[in-house]
Amino acid sequence: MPVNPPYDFPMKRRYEELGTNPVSTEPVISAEYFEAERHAVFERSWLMVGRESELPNPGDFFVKRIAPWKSTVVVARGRDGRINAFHDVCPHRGMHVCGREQRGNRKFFTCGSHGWVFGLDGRVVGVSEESWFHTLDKDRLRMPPVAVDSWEGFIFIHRDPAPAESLPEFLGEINIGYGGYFDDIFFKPVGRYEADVKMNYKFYLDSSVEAYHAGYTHLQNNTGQNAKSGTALRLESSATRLYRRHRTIGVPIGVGIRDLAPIEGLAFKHGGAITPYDSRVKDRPLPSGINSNRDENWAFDILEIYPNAILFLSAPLYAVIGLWPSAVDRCRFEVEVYMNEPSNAAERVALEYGLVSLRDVIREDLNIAEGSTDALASGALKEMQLSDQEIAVRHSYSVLNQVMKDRLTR
Amino acid sequence: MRGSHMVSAVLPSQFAELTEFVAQWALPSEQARFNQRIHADPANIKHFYDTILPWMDRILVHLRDFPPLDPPAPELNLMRLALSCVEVSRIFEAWGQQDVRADFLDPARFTCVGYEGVKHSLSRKVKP
Repeated sequence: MPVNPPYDFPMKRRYEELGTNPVSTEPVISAEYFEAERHAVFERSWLMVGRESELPNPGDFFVKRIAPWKSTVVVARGRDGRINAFHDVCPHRGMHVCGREQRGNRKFFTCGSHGWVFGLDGRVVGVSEESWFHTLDKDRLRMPPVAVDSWEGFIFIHRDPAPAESLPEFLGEINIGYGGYFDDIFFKPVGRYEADVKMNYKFYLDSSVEAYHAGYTHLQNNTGQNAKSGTALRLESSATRLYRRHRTIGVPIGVGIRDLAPIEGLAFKHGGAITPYDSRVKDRPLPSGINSNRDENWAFDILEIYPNAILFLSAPLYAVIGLWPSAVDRCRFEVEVYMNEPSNAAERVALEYGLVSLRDVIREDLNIAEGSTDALASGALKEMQLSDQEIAVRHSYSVLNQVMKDRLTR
Repeated sequence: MRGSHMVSAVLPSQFAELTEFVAQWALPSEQARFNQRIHADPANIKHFYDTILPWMDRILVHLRDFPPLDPPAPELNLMRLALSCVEVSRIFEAWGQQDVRADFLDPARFTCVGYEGVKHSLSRKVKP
């Protein structure tokens, strides 16, 4: 049985500036902190809301709740092919024009309150009983716009319609290195899960960028990983990259070998590649940003895009997680899974194995996040302890604390 | 009854021995299969898993010749039984319990849109 060598704090030596102190629990339990965070973090960041491929045709749109803005946003492709985004609020007296989350195709949006009509860019194109109004500058009136841009096919929005920082500047180091991976021909949406979780959103971020928990939280649930082999899953220092705001880790397959469970084996036999642990997909070319060490033992990368998106990136599948907090202890959780489309009913069944095993690993992490939020709520515990292997968690709090400090001097 | 909205209790003839499971286990969505897995009687689940497991390889060979969405009714039922088998398999093959740890996250607050749900939402168009 393989045994990890003695530990010599490679992460600390690489990222000395992050220090070794415990971190405060205030950012995960304080309602005042969350309120400040809504403005300093969420209203000043580009937020990932979907993929351009969800809106293939002019008139295609989706409506998305952006809880930390206390807003609902319409994202629509116009007749000119450009994607627009604007708050779902009627400039007349403020009712939602579209209302609840939905998707579809429209020529116009009509407010059900007084019948005002809007174009695909949110501009007013028709006012019912217009002659009743004293003065109405129809050229100026619109559903309030938000900035929209895209990276590798992902749509990002910014609450400031003319943000000081462009999306490429915001993405910084990760703006390059991912080209060609998110191929909308190879990868199709094949699964989606949603949850209303009584958690601080950062607990889910935290569990995503450390592997320490894998052998414990997921003790019974790892698909091909080494939880039962007796050694903890350890991240390579060189596969961890901490950027100005964002961070990525490379997670190894592990060191243990075990027999496949009966249904797991049949899923591999009859399906395409359905989990990152399937060695048949190793030869799929990856861009330089993914498995950047070209590690033979690599299973998947986690890319955390500050402040609320997590990308799970592997050769056969990727998943996009969005965390949409509405309060310090409430968060809407969404994950969309992309894989190669099954070509027959047997592959469809095999795909289900990949989906439900990923789903239940996610549920284990959400359960811990909700339990941790509940456990800390009393304030009895003031600090959290972080090991060297949890350096990316330390980095996340460091970035957040700096942003929160900077807001006071802006 | 949970399975009462089933399309029809018919399977391809060579799998007729599995007919007893169609009403309860040929469920139309991942959410329905998930609910069934966490709420059904454990002995009932074990009987289904133990009976269908030796058939699964033959089932999957048969299903190779049919499309993943909307196959003919007998194959649709067969595929749904196989999907339920996948859903419950991890009770016996991984966890040794009926669900993963969920003592804080209430399963009622977790929604499985699943494969069919995603395909449905992509094809849905709202009228102008």
